[in-house]
Amino acid sequence: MRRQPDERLWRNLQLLCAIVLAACAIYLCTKLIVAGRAPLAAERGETNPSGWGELASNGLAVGDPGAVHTVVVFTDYMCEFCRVYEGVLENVRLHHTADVKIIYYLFPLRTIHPGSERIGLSVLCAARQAGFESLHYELMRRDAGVPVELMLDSLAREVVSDPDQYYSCLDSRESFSELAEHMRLGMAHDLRLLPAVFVDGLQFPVAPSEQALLDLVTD
Amino acid sequence: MTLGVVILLAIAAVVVVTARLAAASRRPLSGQLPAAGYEYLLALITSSNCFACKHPELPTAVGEIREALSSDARLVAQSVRTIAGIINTDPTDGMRFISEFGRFDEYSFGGNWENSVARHFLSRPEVRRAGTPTLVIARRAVELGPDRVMRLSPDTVLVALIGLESIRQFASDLRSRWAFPRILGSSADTSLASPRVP
Repeated sequence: MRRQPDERLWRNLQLLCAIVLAACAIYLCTKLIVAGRAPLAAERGETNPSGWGELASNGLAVGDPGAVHTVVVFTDYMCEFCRVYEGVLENVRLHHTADVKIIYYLFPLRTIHPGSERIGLSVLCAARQAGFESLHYELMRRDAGVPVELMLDSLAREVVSDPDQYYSCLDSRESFSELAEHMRLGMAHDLRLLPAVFVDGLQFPVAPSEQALLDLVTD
Repeated sequence: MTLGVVILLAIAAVVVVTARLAAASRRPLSGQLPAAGYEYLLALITSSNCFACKHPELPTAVGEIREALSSDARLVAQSVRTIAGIINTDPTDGMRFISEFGRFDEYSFGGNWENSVARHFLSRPEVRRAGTPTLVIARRAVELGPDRVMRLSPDTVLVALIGLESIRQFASDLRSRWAFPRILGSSADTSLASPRVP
């Protein structure tokens, strides 16, 4: 007579365990599905951003204007990842000189990189005198840890033909507006990490590897 | 019997899924992220006894700077730690006062100018001035050594804003990220409305 309540209790306990375990299994499976999908999307490029035409037709371009493939990069000259990633972009351009053009947009992170806004303005002003490519590569090829702001003016003076015009450009409303436009475009595309990379209309949540980029631009 | 089978199946499912989840979490997000990273610090040194600290725009300005710092740090995959140093000698007043500035990760109350947060940041060569309110943005390197012990480098001050006006000006400059030309007097529209569709 006394055993019956014990058995019932034991069965209820088993049932409870089974329910808890089944619930855990369902929860973990759901997490797995979500976790399993994310890297796949990241590798392939996630979305086709609206406004791609605007991105691809403005900015600071390097390479053949008629190139088949367009890589858009949002960068900050004081961002270490951006400097390292520049090597990847250079290699891609080296292998596909005629097929790839790279369009840069400047996205200075002003709270953590004080001075990055001034660098952005310098680059834009140098670009007005056809000095973008030289200044860009000089700034990006610097050794790690070298403070950009110390070398900026001397580098800029080397690449511009009219230094006076360059200095007046630095404080001009037009150059501020241009930088603001770069940042507006970056914010409109909800950048996740710098450097932010778009290839032929595909937006990548993280910058793709060199091989992934090469695969994308190889027909 | 049936219950036993259900339990065994559930255990097996949990084991398999956990193993696969562990494997997925080991997969690197990007090959470029270095082993060492930075931690950004935002330190606010204030007091309820200071007239400028009670300015109604200060909590908004501090909030905007904090938001911009978090957003910038996120873009380079780094973290932010917020610290409040309230130098009031009466901590009760200080607690009530600092609650207007939102939540911080760490608080240090009391001690007047001997407050450890105030002393740590205000005695730096980059700051060298004592005043409230002061807002400092600093950076320190965080590295996990081979012995799995975390090492922190001494912090470097990036931005030191001493006084209400400096803080308000910095926040206003950050706001201009959204609307440079408006600040400069142009009528160009730089709103964040959806970009043109090609």
